[in-house]
Amino acid sequence: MNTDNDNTFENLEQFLIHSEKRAFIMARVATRDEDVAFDIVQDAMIKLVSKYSNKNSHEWPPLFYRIVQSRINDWHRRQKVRNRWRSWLGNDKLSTQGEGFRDSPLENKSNENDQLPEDNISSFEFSEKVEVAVSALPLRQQQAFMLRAWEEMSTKETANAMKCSEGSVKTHYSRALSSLRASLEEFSL
Amino acid sequence: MTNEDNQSDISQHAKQAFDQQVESLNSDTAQRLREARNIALSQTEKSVWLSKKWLTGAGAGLAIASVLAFMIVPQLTASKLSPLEDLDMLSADVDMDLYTQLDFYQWLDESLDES
Repeated sequence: MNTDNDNTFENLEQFLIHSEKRAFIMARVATRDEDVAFDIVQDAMIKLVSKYSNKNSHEWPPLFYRIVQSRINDWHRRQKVRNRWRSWLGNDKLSTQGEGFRDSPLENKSNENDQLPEDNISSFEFSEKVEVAVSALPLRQQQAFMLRAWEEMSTKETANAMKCSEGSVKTHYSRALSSLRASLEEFSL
Repeated sequence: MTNEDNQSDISQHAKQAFDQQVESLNSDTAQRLREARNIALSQTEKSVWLSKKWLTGAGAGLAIASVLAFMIVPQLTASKLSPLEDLDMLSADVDMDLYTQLDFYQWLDESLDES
């Protein structure tokens, strides 16, 4: 997808087919709420199609993930405001995270698996552990890690998607790796 | 193992783990995403349709304006009086009695002829 003027409808559809699930996982990790994650991906797809479908296809991935990250940031900002109001109203027992995640099978399963010895843990359980560990990272580290490690974006592309400098991306990514190394130590990575 | 190897290992494992998460997404979520994608893609069909409609409308408007221009401009140029002369007549200090009492002046004229 790196040729000029290849912004055809079919290419756009293929790009979305490839990216929608990945973006959904990314948003789910960031919000810990499947419904919110779904809304974020839907918004991002609509915005990409309506605003940027005329761009060359190689520009779509950074644009799409920039929209996704922007939506995630917006959601976190709204959550902060909501939680501030809740704490002022004396309801500070509510979680700062998405409410749907507390009931999600992912978290319940991860709690069940906390005591599993590393030899018995399946690759699926490990992948859930990784998701939980990544979702526990601060948002910016999480974004840098997901874009650099999973989407294999360059530092420059990641900086563009995160709307920050390349130096910040390097710092966030490095800190994310250190944190993950510590939190996944039991797997001897 | 060096620190860099270790970090690269973490990235690699995480990548595999997230790829697996994608593969194991339940069918309901996959279906919702498919529907969301179709809604998004319909936006581009709609915008293309709207731009085509807009272009068609603009083209028709231009054609009508051209026809009108070809019909009206020759009539204007064929007029014996120039717009400047019209203005001159309108601004002239003419006695309007002649026009307001045309019947009377016609009768007067005929009466004078007969006499």
